[in-house]
Amino acid sequence: MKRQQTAANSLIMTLLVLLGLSMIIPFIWMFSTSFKSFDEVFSFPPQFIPESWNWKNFADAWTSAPFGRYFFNSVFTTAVIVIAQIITSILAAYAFARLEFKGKNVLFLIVLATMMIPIQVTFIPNFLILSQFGWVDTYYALIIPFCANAFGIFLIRQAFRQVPKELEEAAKLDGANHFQIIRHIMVPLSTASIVTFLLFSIIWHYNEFFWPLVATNSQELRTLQVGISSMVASEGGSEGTQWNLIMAAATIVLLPLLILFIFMQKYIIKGIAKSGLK
Amino acid sequence: MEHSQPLVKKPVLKKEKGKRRVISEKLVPHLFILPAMLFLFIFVLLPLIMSFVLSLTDSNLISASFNWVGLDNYSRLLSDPTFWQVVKNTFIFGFVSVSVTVILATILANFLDRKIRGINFLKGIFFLPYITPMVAISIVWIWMFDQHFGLINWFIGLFNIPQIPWLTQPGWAMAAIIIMKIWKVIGYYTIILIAGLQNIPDDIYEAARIDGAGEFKIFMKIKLPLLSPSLLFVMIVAIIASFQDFDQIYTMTQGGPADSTNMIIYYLYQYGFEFFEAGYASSVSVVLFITLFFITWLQAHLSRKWVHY
Repeated sequence: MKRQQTAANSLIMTLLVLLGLSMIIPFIWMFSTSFKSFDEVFSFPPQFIPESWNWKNFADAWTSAPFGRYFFNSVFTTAVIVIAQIITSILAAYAFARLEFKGKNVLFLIVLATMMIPIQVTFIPNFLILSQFGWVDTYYALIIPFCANAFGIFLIRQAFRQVPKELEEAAKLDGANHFQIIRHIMVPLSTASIVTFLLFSIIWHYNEFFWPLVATNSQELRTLQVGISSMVASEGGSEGTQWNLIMAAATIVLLPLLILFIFMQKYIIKGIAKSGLK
Repeated sequence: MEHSQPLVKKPVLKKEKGKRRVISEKLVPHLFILPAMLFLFIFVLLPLIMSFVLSLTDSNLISASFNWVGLDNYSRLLSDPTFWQVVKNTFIFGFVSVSVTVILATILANFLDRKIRGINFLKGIFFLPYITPMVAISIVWIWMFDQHFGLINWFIGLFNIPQIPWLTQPGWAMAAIIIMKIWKVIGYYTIILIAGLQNIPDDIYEAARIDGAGEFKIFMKIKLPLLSPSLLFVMIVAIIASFQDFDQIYTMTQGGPADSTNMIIYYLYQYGFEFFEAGYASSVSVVLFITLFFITWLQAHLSRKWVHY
């Protein structure tokens, strides 16, 4: 029985490893193409290991468009959005989890309801709202609409509700105010949820494409996703396309998330299993 | 009476002081939720209401003036053959990609839900595509789907299958984006289903094994029914997400060839941000919102009826 099971397990494992390999082929292929010379890109049958490792492709890709600027824009807007979301979410979550006030339930229902609104439905009106402020094609347009996140409020509120009431009471007796309670009790005891939300917010906003595409049109404001998309568009059709440079650019765009994932995998996967974050 | 004087006075004083405190203390919760509510109201709720209003106008994205046109946008929408093509595409894409994804994810979750060394690493591998930016990875897939030099046609060529014009012929283009979509999201649904499987108590399996049930029978008769809440959740989330696909279509096919991969969000994008017809595009927004609202309502309704708890 035991031996049978280990045999079955190793069979399953082999199958899973093969499947897993096929899952990462696109990444391997991207990586491999990004090092090839232009001639080698179109060699057939395809080679996974490049004849020569052309590191220069990355420099060429980087300078083929203002990628430094794109990179800054992506990192800057993502960072500001995520920090703003964390702050607004923690404040609101604390009120919804721990304070009593009129209209609390109705307001919380409204927060939950906003999660059901498909984000794309808001884009045309938001474009009109932002053009009233004269903010279209500015950093404001990329950042301001995303400074609060209903899911963040919901997730962090759930965590705050788990914090034992006694700790809060004790802190109050010691004269702690709301901000001290949040800083020294609520947040430290809810780090898992906050970090999960933080990671997902980074992923969402770094990957965001539709809104940056329509809310900006000057090249200085392009994010990485918009930048690489326009790079492909300007490279034209499939034959004669400099796939090695494009794949080098794709590698550059993917790398920050790959690194984030390698170090934070546990938090990300656990977060999904627990809350079904989308 | 003599003693009551100070006793009465003191509370009055306290009350005065307390009143101020009570007022500011009463405002505290509102101040805490204010920033979040302000942003959610201005940039999520207000836009939703505006979409409904805009859909009754001929407003465009550039000038501020507009006329009321009643339901004209809706009748134009319903009589546009491209819109019906878009609806059809959206449903085909949603139905095929979601059903294949959920079936494969269920099988995969069943295999991955065991304690073997290295299993967490494997879970990570399957999950990895989900967090990668859709635009960048779509570009990689365009290259893989290349008709003459692409990896995929080379691979199927090993089995003597002729080169397929992925992305350049209507039916194949749809197949191509469905295949890629499945690859991208399967890990996410697998992780949720693994969590669902881990909620099933082990002693149920033990009991079944003692009664002589094999692995397959356990899967069909125990795991699937007990997994049904997670399965329903996964299906609804997947359908809603598939209706919102944009990045992939914009990058890989631009809705083409001949609108064969044009879907609702891409259609919305075209009318809103390429033709600047904000009014007409808003009627598309409203239709999308109502459809997704209905699907969510259906989920709540179904989960009460169908799902075994």
